[in-house]
Amino acid sequence: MGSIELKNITKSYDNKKNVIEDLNLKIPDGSFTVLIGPSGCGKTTTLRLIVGLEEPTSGEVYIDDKSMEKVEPGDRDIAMVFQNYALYPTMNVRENIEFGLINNKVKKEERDKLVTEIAEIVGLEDFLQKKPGELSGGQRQRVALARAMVKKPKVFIMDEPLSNLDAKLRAQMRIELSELHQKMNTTFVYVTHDQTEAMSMATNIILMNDGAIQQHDTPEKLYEDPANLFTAEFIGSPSMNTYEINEIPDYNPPIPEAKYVGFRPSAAEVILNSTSEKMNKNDLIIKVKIITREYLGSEIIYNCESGFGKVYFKTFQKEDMSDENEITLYLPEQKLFYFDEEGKRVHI
Amino acid sequence: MKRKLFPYFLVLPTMIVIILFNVYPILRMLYQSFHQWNMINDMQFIGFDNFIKLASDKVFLQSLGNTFYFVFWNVLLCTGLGLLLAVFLQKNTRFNRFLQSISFFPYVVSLASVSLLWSWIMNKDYGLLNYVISFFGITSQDWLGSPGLAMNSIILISVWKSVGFNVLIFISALQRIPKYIYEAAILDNSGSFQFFRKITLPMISPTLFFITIINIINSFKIFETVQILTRGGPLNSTRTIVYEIYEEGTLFFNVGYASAMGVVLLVILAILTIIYFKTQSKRVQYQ
Repeated sequence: MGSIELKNITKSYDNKKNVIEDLNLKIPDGSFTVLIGPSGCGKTTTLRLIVGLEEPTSGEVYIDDKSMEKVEPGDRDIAMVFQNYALYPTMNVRENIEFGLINNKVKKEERDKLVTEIAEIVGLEDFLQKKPGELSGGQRQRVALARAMVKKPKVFIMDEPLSNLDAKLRAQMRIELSELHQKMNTTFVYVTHDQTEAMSMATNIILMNDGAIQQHDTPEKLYEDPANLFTAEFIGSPSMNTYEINEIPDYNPPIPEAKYVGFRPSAAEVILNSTSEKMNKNDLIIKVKIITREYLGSEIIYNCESGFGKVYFKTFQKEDMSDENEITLYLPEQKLFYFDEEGKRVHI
Repeated sequence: MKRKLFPYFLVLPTMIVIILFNVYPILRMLYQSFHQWNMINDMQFIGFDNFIKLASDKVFLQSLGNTFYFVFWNVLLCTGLGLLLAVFLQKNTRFNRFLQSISFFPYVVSLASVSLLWSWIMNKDYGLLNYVISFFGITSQDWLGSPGLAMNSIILISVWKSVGFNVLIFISALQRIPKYIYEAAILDNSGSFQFFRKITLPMISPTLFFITIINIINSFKIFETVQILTRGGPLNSTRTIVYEIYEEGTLFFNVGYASAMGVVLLVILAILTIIYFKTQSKRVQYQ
């Protein structure tokens, strides 16, 4: 078990502006939930509220339907992996892993068994006598994971655990964490600002901005069915092209309240003979000028200029269009997203 | 060749000052300790006579004992109390900063002023201390005038003066422990005593090591308070090595004999420091 619920949470520091305002969210048991958002959006604060390292100004945190108001962080059955690992520098790896167990009065034989078991899972058997200072970044990361795992918690909390690793190790750890989640079958709550991490590992994503939840959904829904302009622009790489409709010449949206229109860089089709006709009156045809071209192996990202702003588009075709300065992009109606004045999504 | 010599040329002025005012006086003291000299007649070489005389000099041996007694308690209290206060005052609040400043205040005042101040506080007849303890029904004490109490009073004054400095150094060491380590320990359900023993203490051990050595060396040099408050009395109960050196050298002009005492002090300090480094440096955790 390990479901989490936040009810009407507000948090402010020193009675200044609210970092989080009236936040309500449910994290289902056994899920891999990722909190994502730009810096300062309140995701780390939310995490710390769940752990109990911060107290909410108002509102309540529930774990397994039990109020955590009077429960100390150490008694919440939560383990946390910190961004900078927060290993105890004066203890060796074994002592680091064992410290929580000793404090919880676990017997020596039991402790030894657990430590050996965990060390094997994360591949630290040969490093148990080493101090954190003697380990590489990846090894420290594993110690931090082992220290959290050994307690067999109901909820696993991770605060940007991969941000200090190099790109290759990060990709490898993403897969390992997903496997770990399947193996352990407990609730994972994970904070990151890296959408690749969020999209690749999460079963649920909570996208936050300015202390409020923008959308709480599966990765697929978040990408394919964004609820608002912020989500649409945040998820996806490169991000969605969005424009004010009245700046696009000769285009009338099918919905009168639509103020913005957007499309994914991968949705644009390139038309080489520019005399094509609209198949549907709501389709969008834009003429662009290629400025730069990023070759990424399997795909190419073009950065273009149109009369009303920048356009990014992505293609898996190999033809070289760098010479062809002026091209036409065709966007069928079903690939377009419309948003109203407040940035809320409107459907046809 | 020129490139190699140039740096030596640059440090030459400093080296001259160091050799002239640090190295030479020490060697000179060593030289004098093997002579008899009253600063007027010619120096007379007498071999180890000064040291042999020292070994049976009852007053000197007593002052040696007094000094060790003072050093032991002064170092223990300054370091222990300093650490304890630092742990309580480490949180960076306005009130704590105020208390820190107050505890540091005596350190800034000159020892002579401190001594004069305490000679009033500890006065038998009209002193503040006796006035305060009278509220608790304790009879007046002759703090500086009774042989059983005088040295303890000197220790009290010395701790009062320098504990604030210890607190300050300890606080800066404690505040260097990152906040997230405390948080990790909270999640590991660590009690505060356990945390102090297993994490805080090892992490500040370099500072603890440094402070203890500084305290030991400074304590051995105890002089001003003794000179101003008790002049080594009553019954030689507060006579310390440096005070003894001062008396022999500048009042009785037994310069050779005083130098021999200086050499003894030097050797004691050297031995203690070496022992301390050898035993403690193994336990110090430099990260």
